[in-house]
Formats: sequence, C-alpha cells, structure tokens
Amino acid sequence: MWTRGLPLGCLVALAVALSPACSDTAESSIDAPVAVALEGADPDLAGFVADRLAAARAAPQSAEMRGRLAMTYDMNGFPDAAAATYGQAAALDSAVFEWPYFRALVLAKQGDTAAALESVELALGVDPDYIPAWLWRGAWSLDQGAVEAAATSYRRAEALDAGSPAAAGLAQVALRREQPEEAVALLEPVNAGLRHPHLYRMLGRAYRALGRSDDARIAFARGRLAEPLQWLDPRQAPKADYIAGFTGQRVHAQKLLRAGDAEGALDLLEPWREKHRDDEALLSSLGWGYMSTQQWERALEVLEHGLSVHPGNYYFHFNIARLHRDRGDADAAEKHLLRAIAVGPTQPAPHQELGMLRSRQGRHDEALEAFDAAIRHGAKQPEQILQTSGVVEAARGRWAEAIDRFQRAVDLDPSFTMAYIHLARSLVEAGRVGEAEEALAWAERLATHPRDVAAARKVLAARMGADPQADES
Amino acid sequence: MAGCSDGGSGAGAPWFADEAAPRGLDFRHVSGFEGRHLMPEIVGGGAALADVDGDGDLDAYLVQSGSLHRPGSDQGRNRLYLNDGTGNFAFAADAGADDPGYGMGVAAGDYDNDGDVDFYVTNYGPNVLLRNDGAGRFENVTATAGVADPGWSTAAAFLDLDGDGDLDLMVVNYLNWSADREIECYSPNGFKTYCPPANYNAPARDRLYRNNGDGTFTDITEAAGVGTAFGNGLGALGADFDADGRTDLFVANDMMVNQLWVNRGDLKFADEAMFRGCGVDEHGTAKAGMGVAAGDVDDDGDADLLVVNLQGQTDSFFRNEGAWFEDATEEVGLGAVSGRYTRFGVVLADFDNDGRLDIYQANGRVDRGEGVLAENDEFAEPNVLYRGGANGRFVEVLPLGGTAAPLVRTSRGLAIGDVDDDGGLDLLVVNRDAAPYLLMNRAPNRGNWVRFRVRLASGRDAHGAMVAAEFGGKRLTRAVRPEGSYLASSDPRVHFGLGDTASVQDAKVLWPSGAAETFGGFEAGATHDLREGAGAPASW
Repeated sequence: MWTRGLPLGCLVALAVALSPACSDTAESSIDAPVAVALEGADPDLAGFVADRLAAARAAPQSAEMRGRLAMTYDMNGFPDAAAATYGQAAALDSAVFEWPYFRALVLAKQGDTAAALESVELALGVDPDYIPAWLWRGAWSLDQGAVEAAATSYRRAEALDAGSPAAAGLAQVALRREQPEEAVALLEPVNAGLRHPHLYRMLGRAYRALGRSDDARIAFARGRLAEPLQWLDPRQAPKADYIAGFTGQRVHAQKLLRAGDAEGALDLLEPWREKHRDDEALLSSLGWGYMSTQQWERALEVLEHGLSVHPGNYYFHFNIARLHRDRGDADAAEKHLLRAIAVGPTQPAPHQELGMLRSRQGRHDEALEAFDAAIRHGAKQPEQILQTSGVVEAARGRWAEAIDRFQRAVDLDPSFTMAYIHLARSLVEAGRVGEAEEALAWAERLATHPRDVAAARKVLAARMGADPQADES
Repeated sequence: MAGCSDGGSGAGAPWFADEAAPRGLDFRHVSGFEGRHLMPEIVGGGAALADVDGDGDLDAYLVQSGSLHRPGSDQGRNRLYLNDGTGNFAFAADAGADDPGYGMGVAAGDYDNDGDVDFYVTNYGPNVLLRNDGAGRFENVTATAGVADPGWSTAAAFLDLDGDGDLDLMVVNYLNWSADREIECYSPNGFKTYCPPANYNAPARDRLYRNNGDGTFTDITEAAGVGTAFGNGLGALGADFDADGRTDLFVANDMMVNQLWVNRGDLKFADEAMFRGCGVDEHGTAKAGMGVAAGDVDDDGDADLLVVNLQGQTDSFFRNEGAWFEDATEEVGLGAVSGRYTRFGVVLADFDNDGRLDIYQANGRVDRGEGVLAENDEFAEPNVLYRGGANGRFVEVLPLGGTAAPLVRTSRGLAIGDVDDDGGLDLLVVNRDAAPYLLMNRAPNRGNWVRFRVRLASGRDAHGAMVAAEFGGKRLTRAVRPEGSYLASSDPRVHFGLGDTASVQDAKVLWPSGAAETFGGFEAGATHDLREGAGAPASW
C-alpha cells in the first residue's frame, strides 16, 4: 500500500471517513467562527462558504461544524483562515485526529514547519498509528534540523510497515549523519523495485561519498527527473468534497487528470458542461478526460465544439490530431498537427508527433525536420527524440548522422542503455570499433537490457573477427 | 565596532532606512496591468548600481516595464539617475538610456573594454545593448552587436567565459509566451490571477553570446551546448564553482530543475546540476527558483549558492563541497523560517561589517493570496533580513526586514552597493507598480571595512576575479560579481567587513586568467584599486 503516492491523497478512495459523531466538548471560550472576504469571488464558492459559515455559527460548540468550515477554507484557498479554524475545531474536540493533522499540513504549506510539527504532535497523540503523519513529522523535522526526531519518526513509520517512504527517510537521515554505507543498505533493496528518481539521487550521493564514481554517475543520470517521493494519505480524501465553485472544481479536476484519475475528473467536470458550455479550459479538460477513458466519440465531439468556439486553441487541434492518429486517419491527424503548429509554433509536442507520423510513413527527411524542431522548441525528453531520429538515420545507413544523434542522446542521459547500444552498432558500421567497444562496455555497465547488449556484442565480435584491424578511430 | 548583538536586540535598532524619495529617485514602476492578467506584469522590475560616468560613485538605473497593451509609450521607459557623490540622485533625462521596451532586468559591464560601463537590458521582446560613451551617455548598438534576443529575457550576465579578456554574455529566458496565447488562471479561492509558468508548457532556451572583441557578438548557444536544456529561467550568475580556472554558470529555474553549466573549456558547457546536487532540493523537489546569490558563506574559499523560492518552499542553500553541492539549507538556519514569503531579489553581503555574510530578500507574491497586506497591492509581502552568525547560521533580524517599520510591497529587483560611500552597503529595491526603496545602511555598531576596485590591465572591472583578504587571523574570499540577485546588477567593487580589525594584512587576487597576485596590506575605511599586473605574482 505504501508505495509511491500521489499529491495530497487526491486519488485515493475514502478510507477513513470523518466521524460524524465527534463529541462536542467545547469550552465556551472558543472564538467565533472565522470569516473571510469574498467580494468578487466565484458566486458558487461564496455561497458554499456562506453556508458552512452559517452552520458553524449556528452550532458554535460543534467541532464537526467548525472542522467542515476549516476544510472549506483549506480547499478553497484561504489557508490562514483554515489554520485558525482547524485550531478552533481541535480546541472544541481534542479527540479528533483530523483537525490538528490538517492544521499541520496547512501550516507546513505556508512555510511554518515549526508550528506544523507542534500540530502533528497533537494529531499523533490521538492516533499514534497513522503512517503519513509520521512521515510528515520526519520530513519537517529534517527541515528543522532535528535529525534525531526525524529518525524516530521514520523508524516509527517503518515499524508500522510504511515501506519505501520510511526507508527513504531513514536513508536521508543517514546521509545527514554522513553514513553513506547505511544509506546504500537502506536504499538499494527499496529502489530495486521502485526505481524512483529521488531514491536514485540519494543513492548517487551515497555512492559518491563512498568513492563509487561510476555508480554515482549512473544513479544521478537515472535520477534526472525532479520528482519527490510521495505517499498516499487517505485521511485527506474527504477534503476534496469541500472544493466549491466552478473554477475550484475545474482546477482540481485538472490535477486529477494529471495524476491519471480521469474518471474522477469527469465526475467533477461533467455537471458544469451545461452552465459553461463554451468554457475553453472546461472543454479542453473534458476532451482530455474522454480521451483518457477511451470515449473517442465524446472526446471528438467536445474538442470539435471547442475548436468551433476557440479556433486558435492549440490543444484542441493537437488532441484532435491524436484522436485521428489512433483511428488510423493519418491525413486528418497531419492536418490538425499542422494547424496546431501554426497556432503554437513553439510548442514541441506537435512537432514531435508529426515526426513520429512521418517516420511511420517513411517520409524520413520530413520526420527528421519535425524531430529537430521538437528538440529546438524544448521537447521534454530530447534524448528519446534523438534516439528515435538516430534510428531513422541508421535505417538509411547514414552512420555519421546516426552516431551524432545517438551520441547527443547519451550525452543528455548517460543511463540510456538503448542509445548506447545503437551508438555502438553505428560505430561498428562506421568502422570505429574501439569506440564501439567503449560504448558497449558502458551499456553493459548499465545492466538493464542484457539481450540487446548481447546481440550488439555478437555483431561487434563478428566485425572484429572479420577485420580485427578495422578501427578508424 | 563589530560583534554587534543579534538582530532584533539592541532595542530593535533598524539596519536600513528607505530614502529613495528624499535622495531623488522619483521613479515609479509600471506593470501595465489593466484587468487582464498578462504574465510578464508580475515578474518585471530590474535595477543596476554602477558608475556610468566614471566619477567614482554609484549611479542608479531602473528598468521600467510599461504596457504590454501600448508598447513604447512614455510610461514605459527606463531611467538613469546620476549620483552627485553624496548618495543623492538626479534624473539624467538625456543619457540615451531610456529604452522603451517592456523591461525586465539589466546587466552592467564594459563589453567593449573602453573603460566605461555599458548596459544590456532584458525585455519581453528584443533586448537592448546600450554602449556608454564614457561620459554616461548611451547609444543603442544592439543591431551592430547582434545580441537582440527576441524572446522573454530575464537575467543576463557579462562574464569572460573563454578567458580571452573580453566579456561574453549569458542571457536567461523565461517562457515562450505571447499575449495572444495568454491563458486564464484562478487562485484556489476563485479569483483571476497570474498563471504558474508550468501552465504554459513553454519553457525557453537560454542564449550564450561570445564576444568577438570588435564590438560584435556571435550566438554560440548551440555550439556551446547550452541549447540542449530548456527552463523557466529567472536568476543567473557565474563563478568557478569547481575551481578549475574556468567560470561556470548557474541558472535558477521557476518550478523546473536548475541548471549548472559547467565550463569544459573552449566555450563548451555541460549541464551538471543534478549530478552536482544543485538541481533540486534535498527532498527532490524542483522549487520555484527566482533570485540567486553566491558567496563564500562557510569561508572555505569557494562560492556557495543561495536560491530563493515561492512561499511554502524554503530557500535552497547549496553548500559548495568542491566537486559538488550539498543542500545545507537547514544547517545554515534557513530551513525553518525561509518559506513564509515569495522571494525574488536576494543578496549575500556583509551589512554590519562583522566579517560574516548576511542576507536580504525582496519579497512579493505571484498570485492573489488570502489577505491583502498593503493598500492597493494584493501581492505585497514584507522583505526580510538575516544576520550571519558566528556558528554559520543565519538569524532573522528584527524589526522585520531591518527597517523601523516593515516594508510591504511587491518587491522584485534588488541591487546592492554603497551609494554614499560611507562603508555600509546600501540596497536598491524595485517594487511593482510603486516607488523603489533606496535602503541606506544604518546598521548599529557597524564594523570596520575595506573595499577593492579590482580591474584588469585594460581598466575593466575584472568580473569573476576572486579576492582573498587576510586579517585578524582570518582569510575571507569575495568575488567581483555584479550579476545575480534578481534582474539586477550590483556594485562590482569587492567589500570586506573587518569587524574591529583596522587593516588587512594582505589582499590577493585570483584573476580570470588564472594568475594570482598579492598586493600587500591596506588600511580599513577606504576603497583601494587592485590593478592586474600591479601586484606581485603569488600562489592562490
């Protein structure tokens, strides 16, 4: 269960509902509910907030009502009011875990990790077995420089079967304590299954400290993506019900889409379709959601409607192109890709898509032109495009051009095994056997594609056997 | 004398007083916001402190944004103010430095080696190179020089990257953005606001120009290898981080991995930020890098990095370990306190002259927050000041920001220099849609000081040179580094706080050429010239 998670528990099913039967043990000294300024805000949001505020005022001793108001503030961009109101809810009923826990999360997001730690201690006093609270306590303790407290937190999480996040936290503690051997011992078994960039980076630091420079280089290359380790936090899930108003729900739906929960996103978006039928962002998100759930006809209908009211929208063209591509209509796909490029010439994705499409059609020069444009405009993984375009060149026997592309790919990503293999094979074809041997040796060192490496090794051996002197380098 | 008490004690004596208006800086920044949130409006506002007329004092150059709706209108011109030698300024209306572009920042440097300071102004739209005639009058030579990057540029830096004696130019770009492709964004509480850069999915490529030595530049972005990486760049500076004798480049990216362009020689660079540990923070997060400062915080002779970020994200203090960086943010005391505001301008400098680097940060939100902290400014936040402590940790100075009353505006560009030459480093802060702050140093119990103007044989400020000063049993290292902070260019002179020591026993310079010279002892309380070739050869 405790694997790499997603932001703020927004994807998980409700695991633990807030207890509706929280006891109201309020002192009469609790302040009145906090109100926020809503002039100019989304009317749906303003109405939702007003209702929750009225409910809290009507039941001033109810921790439950105060907590609901706090969640409303929390999920709709009023963090100061949320922190204060969670505090009030906790004061009204100190037996509820959620109020101090949610308060801690708000405070940490605001940059006040000292206060967050105080609040999470209160939460853990109520439920000492909730793993995410211990993991947060560990992370915030590290930010505070409290390495011992962090170690205690992660050990506690580990004892509760937290898995990789606890191991990663303990490794971070070990690195702080300049104990790289311990960090390696913690990280290698966890990362063998998880292969997470953050774990690779920590491994890289540990290897470097141990003088294992090749291992460090590979680990850092594999940790290139900026991705922190996250974890599931099911007790946060109910907060999503308090996102109010069109814009709030639309933004939340986009987060769900990015995280892969298209169905959850569509549940939020579809009710707004009638009221905001021409809204550009809504239509774009709906199109994305329908495509992700393979509702092709609905996706096409939404995107084409979007294009009819927003003809300059790049995403509508791009996504319609992808729909046509998936249906095998290359001409229609190309037409929309060219329109997408005309609208957004510096967006790399349609150039890349066009390159793939033309490559499949055997239009190699045009494909390479499109691939190069994608790289020039900042494609997200240029090494992949260089590898693909290198294969195009290699297929035509243009070894020097292929070598150049494969070399650039491995310069960008020294852990890219397949690019090294292709580089080695191209170097062999170019008669540069010594360099091919070096490239292949590094590919072997990476230890990810043994069959491909072995096949390339055979080619290299055959070539060396045929002409052991062949090496222009 | 040095050794002043912790900030906040001493009855909260302020360290700075804003004297922009009484000292003649009547500039007012204009973002051009007219109801539709256009992204450049929230990040502009740069400044330079440089001696443009060669009279020995620091003049002020303020970069105006203007209007994206009516580009080139009169409200959108940069302004140069000349210092009369006492820290009072007069608007130089006829200086020719009034570029009308939608301005972002400025780099100052003598690109043509003629002994005066030129300006490179970054804009949304084509950038501008302004050549100084030596008397503080400027001519737009962009077309001749070939440096009009047409994108949306933010930071820029003049640095000699190939060691040939002239200044090359690094230009950092933020986004591939245009007004007709602006998108609508909302804050979580439903108000329209500015978008996060990631929403545009349009990171930009930075640009590197080689100085040809004849007044022209060649775009070597591709050949240098800099064209392979894209980012939302906002801050940049150079330093020889790995002590191999070549100047490397660091670029702070907004919500993307930072870049560390390691100089391989022959104007070839490789981005090794992730490998060397300054691409993301200790937790693996690519933060919203805005401004960046470099300085030898731990007094081990190399340049450490401080990158400032968005509210909720701590600063990133990357301690230089020689061949790599460690995220030591918490160890220097910035882990617990630095995430309260959204920080843009940042400097590491010794304000109280106690021999330890302090920090000033210029702050202001990028989207509408919950409460409005200043009238008519929904993005305003207070600036902050930290004092460097003897234990290597920074401690916040109170009153907040080191001024008698907190300064609460949407602050952006931040330049540093001693404008009244009294030995205390002053600050120039640009505020969005408001007047700037000119923060005159009034730190209580300031220590002794010495300052060096470090110049090559040609007379140009030796950007990238390192100066080591030995005094009182200590050896401190500082650099000639006008670039850095946010959209700013600062005084290139090298300032040392000496505490209660009255003189420097020896000052050594490591020149960009790799040669080192020793210049002997100097008395405190004055600025001294260190000219290449005038010292005795020495080992660094």
